[in-house]
Amino acid sequence: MRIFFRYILTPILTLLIGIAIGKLINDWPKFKINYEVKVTDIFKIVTTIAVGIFIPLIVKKLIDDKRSKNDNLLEELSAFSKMIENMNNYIHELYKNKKIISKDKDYINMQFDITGKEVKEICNFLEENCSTKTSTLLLDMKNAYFSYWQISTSIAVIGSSIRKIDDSTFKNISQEYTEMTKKIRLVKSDILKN
Amino acid sequence: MEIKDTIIIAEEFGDTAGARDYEDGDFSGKEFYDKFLLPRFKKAIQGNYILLIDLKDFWGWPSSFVSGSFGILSKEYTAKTVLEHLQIKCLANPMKEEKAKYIINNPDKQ
Repeated sequence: MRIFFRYILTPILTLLIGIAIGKLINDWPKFKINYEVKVTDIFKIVTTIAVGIFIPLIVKKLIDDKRSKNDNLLEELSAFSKMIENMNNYIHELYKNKKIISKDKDYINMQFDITGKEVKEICNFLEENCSTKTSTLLLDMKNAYFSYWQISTSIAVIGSSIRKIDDSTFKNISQEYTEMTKKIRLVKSDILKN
Repeated sequence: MEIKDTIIIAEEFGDTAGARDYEDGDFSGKEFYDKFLLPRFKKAIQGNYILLIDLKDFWGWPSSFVSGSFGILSKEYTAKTVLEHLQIKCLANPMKEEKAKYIINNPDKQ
């Protein structure tokens, strides 16, 4: 059956279609070429070709620019996310070891100074480059960061009499961390959507 | 309203932030509140001017210190009054200003 289609029916159909097209061109309609060319016609042709070439190029460039801008924004957020994750791992280790000394408290303080600067820079950068909706999500992210900072540098962690991070404080820190990462993910997905 | 008084914490109080209360060690937020912030803030309200808190060269900014000083001030005088008469400046890390404002606006949040 396949051989019949391939070697008999297809050539016959092709031949018939060819004859039909030939007949159509030959009989109807009759074309007449006008050799008088106006300057405006040349201009129109050139413009049409230019538009046809440049519009796709411009659109492609705009798409590429937007993609690379979004990649930069996502890269910044990922770097920040990593910093927060490292901080959380450090606190997690302290909780697991049931020991926190003054050096650890200084380290936490210092890390929050550094991440604070990072948050500020990211927010400024994103606010300049994002939509209003993303700005709202950024504000939520910033507030989540404040809550995380508040609990992680609270008296229950850095108080001079504190020798270990207790269960309830660690639970609160973990909750705020989860909230923070959730907000970062929301900002990321919003950037990807736009 | 104009700025008529400035506390450069690192010069007048100490260069490192402690924790919240006196029993938590030196340079606590409460100590800063009692000895510097409250008296100078009262004067700012009476004289109807702004008190500037400069965090230049001040190391660390734990929430326990901030809530032990600015948080208490906000509970005492309301966030609106505090933000009217107080300005916090930290050129090296502007996030510290925002963290303080966050505590001033949410003084009861633990």
